[in-house]
Amino acid sequence: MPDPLDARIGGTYGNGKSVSRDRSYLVSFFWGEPGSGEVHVNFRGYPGRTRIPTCSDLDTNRPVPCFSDPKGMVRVRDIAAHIYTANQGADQWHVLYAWQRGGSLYSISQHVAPPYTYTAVVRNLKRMLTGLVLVRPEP
Amino acid sequence: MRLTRRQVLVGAATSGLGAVGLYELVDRVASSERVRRAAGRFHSEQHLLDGLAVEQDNGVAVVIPPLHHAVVTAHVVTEDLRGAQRELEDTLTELERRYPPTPAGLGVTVAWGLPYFRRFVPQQADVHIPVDRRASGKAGRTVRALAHAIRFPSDPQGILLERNDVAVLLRSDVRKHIEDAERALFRGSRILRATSIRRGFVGSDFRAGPSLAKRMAQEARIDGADLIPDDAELFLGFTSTQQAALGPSKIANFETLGYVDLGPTAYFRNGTHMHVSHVFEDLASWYQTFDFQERVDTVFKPGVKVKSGTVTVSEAGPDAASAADVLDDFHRDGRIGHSSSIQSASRLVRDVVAPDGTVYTRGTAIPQRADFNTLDNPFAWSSKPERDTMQESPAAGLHFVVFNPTSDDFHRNRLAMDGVLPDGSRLKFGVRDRKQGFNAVLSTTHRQNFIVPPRRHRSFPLAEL
Repeated sequence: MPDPLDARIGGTYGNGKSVSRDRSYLVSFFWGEPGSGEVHVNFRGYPGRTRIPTCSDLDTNRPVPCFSDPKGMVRVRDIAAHIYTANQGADQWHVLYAWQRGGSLYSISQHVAPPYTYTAVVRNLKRMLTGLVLVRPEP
Repeated sequence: MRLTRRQVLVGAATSGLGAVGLYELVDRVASSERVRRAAGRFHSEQHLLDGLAVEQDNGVAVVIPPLHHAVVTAHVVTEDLRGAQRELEDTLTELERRYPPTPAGLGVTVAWGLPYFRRFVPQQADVHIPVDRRASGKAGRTVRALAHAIRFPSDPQGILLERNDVAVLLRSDVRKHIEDAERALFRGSRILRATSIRRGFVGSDFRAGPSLAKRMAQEARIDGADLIPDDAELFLGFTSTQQAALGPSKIANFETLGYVDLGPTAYFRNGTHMHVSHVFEDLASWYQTFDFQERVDTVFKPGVKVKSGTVTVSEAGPDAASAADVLDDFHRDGRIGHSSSIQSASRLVRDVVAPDGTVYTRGTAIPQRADFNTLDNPFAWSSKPERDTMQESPAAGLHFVVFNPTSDDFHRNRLAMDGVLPDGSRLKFGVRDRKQGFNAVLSTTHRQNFIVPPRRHRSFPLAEL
């Protein structure tokens, strides 16, 4: 993960995890320091569905796609992720990679903010995508 | 070649007269070899430039503006106006001898602000500055074609309404021509003292990608620069110089549309009005919180359907929006488009036959824009850096330069952009509301209105009377 985040759920930089009633989940990591910048990474999963979820537009409350403005694809191992640059909710201001696997939708995103530029964020996301480890649910 | 941040900052910090720093990059980054007609005719109008090429993009005729632009504002620092008039005219004549009035040569437009007229030639100005018929009728008193700039509803509280005596717009494909003109007009001048220098560029290489606008923003490490489309003419991603969106030939002249009474001797015939403002553009917000369709809705008209990634969209006369169209959009979608809202005030509502016999058809654009992207923050140089809140780091923005027949005409256009429509409707928006065209990502810092006299009276107008 981008420095200084460490990917430890519940660790120093763990920014919370939540599960919605539709079983979708968000795991977030955050570091911030006034004047220095912030590093914010989100992991999401939408078990059992592959359509891009719908969010509420902050201004109009209209339903809008949570991920939009596709900017092509990136392929890493057996993952073919779509890149989105205009996103909603906790992913607003983030670059987001979304992909399907086994009938479910997954995403990772990072906020484009100092100390990381857009280019650095894209590099980080690709590295994170490469390093993903499949964790099977336990009963 | 990527500059280090320090190189960029040093470049920006030293961008005074003749030292253009960051903008040297334009010549290195611009990819296209420009073939321009060298010869040009000196029109009676200062604001008309010969030799502008027109190319087709996405089936739309696009005017190719000069690559380099600068605006130098100044105060008059002499009481000997007639001597100054001769001196300035000699300098301008010498520049005309060196350079044809084309992008390959040099376009020079000298414009004068109300402070000049009020301080130096108030009585002559009362007689000869054209009277705006529409604005006078509306106000119930005499309103001149040149009025002070105003703060518009979407402008920030801290906007500076400037009081320069004169502004000189310089346009050329060749940076050295502009530098030469700056030196000739201002360096060591006994008659004019520069108050600000504003620089920028417009690329025409946006079909070859990555465009000049994108590469300049990237070199300056502007937030959001990487998301500018490769084929963007300007930072905000869409082609702005569609021929149909620019006023043709002499339409912005004082005498053309009958908006003004030219006065007893028609002193300012062949002249026009110029508005100059500086606008910051928040590229990160634009590209990260507006998706492509919302950007199209915002720039053009809600609901316009174009293929994803299109940068050049037709704005032809017959498609121009009326106030009723804008109201319909607002009631249906809760938003207005930048172009469509302005079109409600900036396009002819009927055919007009000009005094020279030219027929301007309904839907024709009136304003002649000469705006250009900039990395100034907010200017390349200022004589009062604190007042102008000068910063060393580059910032994405636009020096907005536009020729309209009168100050009031420009104000009507700009008010329409804020939802104040020519039919009297006032659409309610919050401050920097993203449904109000571009306004959510724009922040204007400075404004001023000027008169552009005809070429024959460009030097210290009215001083000889």
